[in-house]
Amino acid sequence: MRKHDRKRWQPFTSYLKWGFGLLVVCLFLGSIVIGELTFAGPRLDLENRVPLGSGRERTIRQLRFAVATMYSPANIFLQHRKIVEHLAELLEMDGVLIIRSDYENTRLDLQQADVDAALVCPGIYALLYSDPRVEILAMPELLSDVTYRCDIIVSAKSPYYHLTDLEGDRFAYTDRESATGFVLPRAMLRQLGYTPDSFFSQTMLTGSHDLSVRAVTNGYADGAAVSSMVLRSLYRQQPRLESQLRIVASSATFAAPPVLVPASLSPSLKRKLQQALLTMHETPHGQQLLADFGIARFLLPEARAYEPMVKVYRDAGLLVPNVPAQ
Amino acid sequence: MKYLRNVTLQTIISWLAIAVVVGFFLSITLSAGWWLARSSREDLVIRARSLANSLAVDAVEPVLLDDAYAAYNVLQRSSLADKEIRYAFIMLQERRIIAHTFDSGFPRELLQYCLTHDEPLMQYRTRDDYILDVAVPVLDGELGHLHLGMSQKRVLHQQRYFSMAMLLVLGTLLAASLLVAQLISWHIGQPLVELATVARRVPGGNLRPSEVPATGTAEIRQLSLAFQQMVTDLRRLKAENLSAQKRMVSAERLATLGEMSAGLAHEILNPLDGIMECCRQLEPHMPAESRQARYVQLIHDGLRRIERVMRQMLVFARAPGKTPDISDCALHDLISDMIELTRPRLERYGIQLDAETSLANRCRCARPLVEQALLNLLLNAADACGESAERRICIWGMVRDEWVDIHVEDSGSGIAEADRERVFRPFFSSKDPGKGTGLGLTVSRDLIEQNGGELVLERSGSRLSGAHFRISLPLSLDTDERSHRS
Repeated sequence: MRKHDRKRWQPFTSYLKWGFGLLVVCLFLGSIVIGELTFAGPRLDLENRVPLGSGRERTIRQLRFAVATMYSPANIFLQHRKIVEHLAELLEMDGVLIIRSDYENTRLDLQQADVDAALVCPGIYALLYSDPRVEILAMPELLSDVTYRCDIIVSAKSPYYHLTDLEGDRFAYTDRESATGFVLPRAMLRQLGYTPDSFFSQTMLTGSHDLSVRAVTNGYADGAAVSSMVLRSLYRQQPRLESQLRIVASSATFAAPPVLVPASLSPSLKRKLQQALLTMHETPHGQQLLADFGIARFLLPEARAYEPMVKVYRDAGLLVPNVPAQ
Repeated sequence: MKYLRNVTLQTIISWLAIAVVVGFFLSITLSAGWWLARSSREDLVIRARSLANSLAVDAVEPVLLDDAYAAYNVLQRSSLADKEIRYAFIMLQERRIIAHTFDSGFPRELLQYCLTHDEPLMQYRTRDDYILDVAVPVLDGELGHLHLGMSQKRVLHQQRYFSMAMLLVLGTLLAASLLVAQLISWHIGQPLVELATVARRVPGGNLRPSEVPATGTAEIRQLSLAFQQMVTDLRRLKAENLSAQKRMVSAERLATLGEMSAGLAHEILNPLDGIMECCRQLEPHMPAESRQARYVQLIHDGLRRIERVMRQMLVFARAPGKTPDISDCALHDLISDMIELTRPRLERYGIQLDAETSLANRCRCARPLVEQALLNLLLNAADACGESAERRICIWGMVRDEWVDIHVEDSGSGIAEADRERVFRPFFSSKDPGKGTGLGLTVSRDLIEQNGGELVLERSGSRLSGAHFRISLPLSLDTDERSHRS
């Protein structure tokens, strides 16, 4: 390159150099600014870790109240939490709602005294009827228009009008220990001369009555056995549901779900809890909470009221004398 | 603007290009980078919330059943669903963590941060990542919140890739724009500098038009061509100026000669009057038909001719600027006198003079001035005939409307078409150097215009082939004729 050409190019290369320098600086600054502005936040060390405890340490101030999964866990939580909190408030304790995956685990909680009290299906009480580890604390008196029985439901659009129409079809049970969801419909079939195990082509255990209703409305089952109390509660929550379902058969009425306690529960707590249940309807708030479940009030228990249910369980061969502790 | 005085065009264009390109792309990079980071982050948040909500629904039952392992299984699915999920955990309403996906315990600082910042969207940095913590309620918040920690590395990398891509594009465009700026400055600035260098040589007078550079853009080329034309014109004007200077000197000498001639004529006329008087006194005393009487008559005729010539010289040398004395003048007398004055010279050169002087019309003019102009035309015609074979001059008069025209035409080579416009300019002469002053026609036209007339160069070929001039003078009308015309 000649000297003249070098002189010609010199300013150009100088500007180019400065231009690129300026550009790089600006872009880096821009990137940093954008990065800092967009991803700003404190710096945390995720490597310094500590073990977490179970957090389930029981304190004497806790009232651990279990509810059997007559409803799905979420519904139990949303609907029964207020009753538990109300009772705990009356007892000046911290209410803890205990929900188990099935009826059996709730029954075991009672037998093992892992809970202080439990609202359970009458079928569980029937199973624990002769168990000395469990006592009945209170029984509900239902509202005048409410009964406790098993209703066999089908879709309103289905061609089923009798329980026998469901022969060879799909059927949803609730839980093997549920009275209205398992034992009573099978007893009804037996009374009709059918063998429950072979009557339906396919059966399923949904775990709760509301899920059995959903199985029918969603078409996963042609029929289901549900508690009339749960069905009433669902109708109140979803008025359109009543037009979607049809009850093709119902069992006889039985005593409603009782409140059981472990026999080992401290007498003072047992007494206070019973007193709280029996007087719950005396306050408007308590009365409203009970009315949501179709309950007028809690009464002192009468063991004889549940004998029809015990008989059904016994006829079904479900009762074994002196149920062993687990 | 004074700061730009010493800045070159190249510098200005280069910096303008840098400023425009960098400014434009920097703003785009910043705004687009911001937008990209923001939209990517929003996408991340939407994705995280969607997944977290799905997990929260599945986690309800394990939480309600207090089944930590089932809750862990639900959370563990998140890591399979999205690779950008760094962790998941469920914090219950009572600020207890029921399940999480960390190994070997839960991060202490994260626990503290979540306990003190109960917000649905949090972000923080770790040693090697930027984490976006999205919290969604479990069972409408009744049970607590499910937290998902999303890595923002991909977003950050996207933003950095974008910046780098923009850097490359910008660098390329900057180089291209600087190159264009350089080319523009070369094609505009450099030719201008070269033109300025050449222009400095103009006062020296040694610049030839071909030396003016004619490069660059069309505008610069036009400027160069105009500059070339200017140099050419300057060279021509300079040559004409030199020629005019020479003619000025000659004219000055002729003017001086004229004054001397006037003085000389005056000095000659005074004794001439006496001599002529002597001749008149001698004439009656000479015997008739004698040899002496014939000699006296010849002397007297010669003296009269000398007197007439001298008086013409006096008239010709009369000082200009004097208000002309306009009077009626017979066209015939005017032309005859001029013929008589110039005939000896024309005869000496062998030039035939054809004159038509039969018109009896009169014109309004200052006779001496018109005579001088007519004399100039005749002398020019005589000079023009010098080289022609025919050697002939025609002079004739004619009446045109209210004008009396005197035409003078010669048999010379005529006046070139290119010189027709310049023929009346001062010091323009087609004669050989030293022969003409270049003032004759200029002075003649001036003299005629002082008489209210005009001197015009006519097209050749009416009678002869040479130059054809026309003097137009106002026609003098009798009182009766004027009233008749009006």
